[in-house]
Amino acid sequence: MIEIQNLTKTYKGNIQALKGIDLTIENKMFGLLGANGAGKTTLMRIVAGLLKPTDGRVTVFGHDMATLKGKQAAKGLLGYLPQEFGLYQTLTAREFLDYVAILKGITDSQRRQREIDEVLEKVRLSDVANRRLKSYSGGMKRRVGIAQALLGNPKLLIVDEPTVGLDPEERVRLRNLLSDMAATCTIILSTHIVEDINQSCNDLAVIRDGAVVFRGAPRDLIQNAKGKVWHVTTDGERPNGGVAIVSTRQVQEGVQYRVLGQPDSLYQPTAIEPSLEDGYIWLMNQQP
Amino acid sequence: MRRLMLGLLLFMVSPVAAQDNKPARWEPAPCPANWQEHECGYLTVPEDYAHPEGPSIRLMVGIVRSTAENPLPDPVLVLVGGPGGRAVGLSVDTPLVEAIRQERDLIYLDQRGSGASQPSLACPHQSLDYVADMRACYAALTAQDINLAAYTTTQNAADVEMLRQTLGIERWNLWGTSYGTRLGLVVMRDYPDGVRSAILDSVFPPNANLYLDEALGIEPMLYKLFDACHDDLLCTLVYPDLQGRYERLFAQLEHEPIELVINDEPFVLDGDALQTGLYQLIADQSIFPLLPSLLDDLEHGEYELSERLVDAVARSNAVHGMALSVMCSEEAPFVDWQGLEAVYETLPRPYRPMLSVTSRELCHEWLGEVVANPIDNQSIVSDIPTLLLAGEYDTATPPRYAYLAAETLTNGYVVEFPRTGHVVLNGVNACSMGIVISFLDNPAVPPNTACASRIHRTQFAVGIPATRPWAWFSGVALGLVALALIGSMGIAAYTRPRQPAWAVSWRLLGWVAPLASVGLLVLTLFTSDFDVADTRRLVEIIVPLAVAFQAAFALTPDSDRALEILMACPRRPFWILLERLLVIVAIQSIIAMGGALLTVWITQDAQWVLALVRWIPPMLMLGGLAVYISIRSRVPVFAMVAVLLVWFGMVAVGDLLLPPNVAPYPLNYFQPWLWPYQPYLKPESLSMDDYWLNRLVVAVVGIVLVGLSLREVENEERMLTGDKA
Amino acid sequence: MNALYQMWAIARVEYRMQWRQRGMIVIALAMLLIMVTTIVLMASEFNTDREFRDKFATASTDAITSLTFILAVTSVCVLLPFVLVNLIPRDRQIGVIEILHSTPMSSTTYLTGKLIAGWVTALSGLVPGAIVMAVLWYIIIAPFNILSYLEIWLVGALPLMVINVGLVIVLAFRMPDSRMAVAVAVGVIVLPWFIIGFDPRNDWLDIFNSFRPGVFFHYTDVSAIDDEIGALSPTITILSGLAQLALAWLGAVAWLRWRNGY
Repeated sequence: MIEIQNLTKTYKGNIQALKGIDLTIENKMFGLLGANGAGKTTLMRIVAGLLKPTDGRVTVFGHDMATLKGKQAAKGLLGYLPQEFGLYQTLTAREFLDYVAILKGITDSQRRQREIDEVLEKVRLSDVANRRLKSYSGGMKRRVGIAQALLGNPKLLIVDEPTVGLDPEERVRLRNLLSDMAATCTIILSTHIVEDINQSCNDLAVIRDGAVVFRGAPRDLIQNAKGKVWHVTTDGERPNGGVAIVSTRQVQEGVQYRVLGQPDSLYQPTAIEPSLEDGYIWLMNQQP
Repeated sequence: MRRLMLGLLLFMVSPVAAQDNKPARWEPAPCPANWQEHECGYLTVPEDYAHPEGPSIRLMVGIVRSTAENPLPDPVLVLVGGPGGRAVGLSVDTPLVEAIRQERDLIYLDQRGSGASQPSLACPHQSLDYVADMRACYAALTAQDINLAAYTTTQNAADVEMLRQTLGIERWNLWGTSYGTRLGLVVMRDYPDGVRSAILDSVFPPNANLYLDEALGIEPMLYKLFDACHDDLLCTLVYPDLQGRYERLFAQLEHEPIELVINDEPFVLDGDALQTGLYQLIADQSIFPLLPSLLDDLEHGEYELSERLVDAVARSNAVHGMALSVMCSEEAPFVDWQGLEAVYETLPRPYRPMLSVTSRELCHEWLGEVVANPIDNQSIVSDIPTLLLAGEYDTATPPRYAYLAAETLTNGYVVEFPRTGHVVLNGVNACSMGIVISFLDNPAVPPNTACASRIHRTQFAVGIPATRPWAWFSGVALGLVALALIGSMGIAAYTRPRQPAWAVSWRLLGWVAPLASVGLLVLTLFTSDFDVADTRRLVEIIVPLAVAFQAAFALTPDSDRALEILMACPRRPFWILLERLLVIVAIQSIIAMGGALLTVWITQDAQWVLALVRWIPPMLMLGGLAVYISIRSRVPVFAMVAVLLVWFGMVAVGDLLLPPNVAPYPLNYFQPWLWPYQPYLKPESLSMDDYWLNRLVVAVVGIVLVGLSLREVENEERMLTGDKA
Repeated sequence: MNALYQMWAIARVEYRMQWRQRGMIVIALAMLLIMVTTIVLMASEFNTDREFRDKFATASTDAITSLTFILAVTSVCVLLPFVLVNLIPRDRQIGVIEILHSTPMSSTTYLTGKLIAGWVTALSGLVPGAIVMAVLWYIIIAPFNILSYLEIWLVGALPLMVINVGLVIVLAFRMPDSRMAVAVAVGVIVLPWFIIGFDPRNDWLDIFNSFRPGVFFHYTDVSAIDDEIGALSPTITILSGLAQLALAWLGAVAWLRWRNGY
């Protein structure tokens, strides 16, 4: 269980990235949604022990992240996939994973070998594990990043935008992998891709401008948008009057818009069932 | 032992024996500063052993103890040449001395009149006119009541015996060099019981006929020089027909002498001076390789090397009373001047020495009428084991003297070293050292001298006039390459979009390097105690390095994440690099100009135009090198390391590239052609014309490197992937 | 125990990467080339004869000692620090540092591990050089006193390497990229030499000189290139160098503790 109390983070130049966050994350898959620059990565880094909070308290499975001992203990339980990272181009995937495994404290070489084989299998890189990372494609490098996060049977897995750069097949595979993992560990999945959360999380938080604006289950977020999602078809003219356009589609009769809000009856809107994305956009469109 | 010190008149000095019953006084004395760890002392002896009650003189003696726990009882006595050379204080850090010290003590004697012995017969070197200097010397020495006739080899040998008895040494080994061999031979003649063995390097026996031998020796010795050049690939290519050159030059100088100025003193270089100088210099192993380029320089009307050498020769002709006393009493009296003149007449003009009348007169002034003692012209008979070393190119004591001396030495072994000059053991190598050490170990066994014939060939220096066409050629050829590279891109730049983005480039390049060059300039200009010449170089040393540092990191294909976007723009890709380089140059130029003005002001530099531009060629070269290696290797650090090596090497030891230095084989084939590329040539090292030629080549090399780097950037695939396209 | 294991892993990986990059190989090859060329050149200079080789041991030892020291000083004091200065900045530049810092390894372990990695890599470049040089010298030129030769590497070159490589790594630990890292190396290696100069009469100021003149002049004196003896003893030079390194390391660790809270 991760407890975050009144967490604030102010960067140089008085840029407030987090403004008093309170969150309790239970032992399951937790989704963190938010626009780019909302403070997701800052929050993840603080939980991973990479940044020091300006104020507030974070405990990870009871370990206080403000103390050296607590932080070290917490890091021992952690698997972390940063949003942006680089790899040593001249090493092979296996060598790199071996390196990280030692740094994670897996000193028994046989156990290390076994675990590396396992995670390589999980991200489907076993065949190319002995090739230099220089020759890897973007998606493959991302999978090496996921593999290193999985090393050492983490109790807490923090994955920041894990599906970026993955093809649809890999994305599905990763979601399933994370869902399987969730049985034994806590996963914090940060993303701006709503679909990823919808498929795998039962608990989520939405962050905007450094503050939590929603906390609950995906269906609650959907529920918020109930009765506010409409289809409007015009001959090309954009519907106006305080509505947000979620999507646009060319149909035989003209252009069909999926809108959020209360469109003018002039357009003869038809009410439809909201999706999680609708709920998220509805939330984002609320004035803070 | 120079032929300039020759005399004529005879004067009898009766052979004297050191008188055993006369106790000589020994008193310890401080050693010279560089000999602090050794022992020194003064030995008091009579000035003239024929009159032991007369005035006494003090001889400086130094003892270098063996490093062995139980040294052998027979030390080595070092007898240096001259006459008048200094012994105590000579470097003992030589391989040979260290090898000898492993078993024996070494004793260094400042012979009477020489070194720190009192009185000293050394006189100041005042002018290029040896005779005038010696006359002044005569006046100074006679004013001190010094009996110049008492400073002979026989008296000298008596000192040696006195020293042996005083130190209580039963037998010792002599190590004589040049005139020291004459002294050694006389010791072997007069006091054979005290000598275990003798090593005589560059032998000068009493029965040598110095004047005649020299007259006959000039032609064969100069031919040796011509042949050595002919046998050397580089020399014969660069200086073909050296003999013809010499003879033409001789005739020309004979007809039209050149007036040189050496230390503000005029010196007339005529045919005779050329011949004499050349002949003397052949014996000097370090100068021998320069001689072909010396002739070439003279032919081209360039006198810098000649002036240096004339100055060096004049300085090495020590103004020493001891030399004149010895020569005037032991050599000049035995010369048959008429016969000599007749021999001279038979010699072809370029190889005929000048008959020196002045030295005859000088001897007369020095000692008055000398009655020659025939023993001073007789060969020395001995069965003491003696090792006689001779150098093929020794014009002072030619190898023939060693063989002449060996005729009457029943246990004398001559070793002649080919392509070696005067004093073989000066350039001690494994071979000569091995021969000496095994001889000392066991003098009775003839040394194995096989290795002596395997001395490597002489490598000749190549001077500036011979390489100047090459410098021009490389400057022009590289200039054409630079024009082609820059030109093709210049045309492309004007036919395609070319929006520069100076501000972005400036921000990308950062402020560290400009700040560093300003800081360093200010710091070194105001705090360091460099001399004026070095202060004037500061801008060209600092700014190019800062430029190279910035250039190495100007465009790093592997970590520049915007590269792909920039490459996709319609602008030609080379602009990405070019605009950054131009910003670097602009910023650093402002700094350099400021620094140059400051330097001109601080050092009161009259050549302010030079100060304002001299940093540009090294900046272009180092900057070009940095950017080229960085782009090619994709490792900017690597470029930086390479630039630092070049920078450090060229600033510290770049003068090694300059003629007429001689690089070891096989580098000697390349070294002469490299001076145009030395980025840190000092204006005072070569003539101003050659300096500007060098600046031109250096700058052009830099531009070519920049051009090649720009072309490299044009190769988009390689830039983005690092693969060969 | 874990920390030791982690440092070992850092050293191992760093060593592997440095040798897989072209830079280190090119520099090692360049060093070997310089050594072989010099020995071949010296062989013709020395004109050694097999019969006298043993007699020549003193001179041979002197020559190889001086030659070694000049090569060692240029490679240890100039080249290696420049190649190894960006061990930490490079991690930051390519972005691998975030992954490394999410592991339970402490920042102090990371810093120290990189330090050891630098030393191991530098050593791996120097040891073959030392061996190749010794073997070639023995075969081509003459036998020499191996103990003197070993001494110059172990007592002369090794501490210099430890100090200079260590100093640049520790002092560059905050730098964001390799450009700034190289700037630090220029500052640590080139600048002091430039400002202080290279004069045996300098005394205490020379403890900051990257060329470690106390050691340098000691060996030029030993090998009889030059009679000049530096004002600083090699012991003081090396001890003060190690003290500077220790201070820099402590400063960096203190900074890390303050910055990261541990």
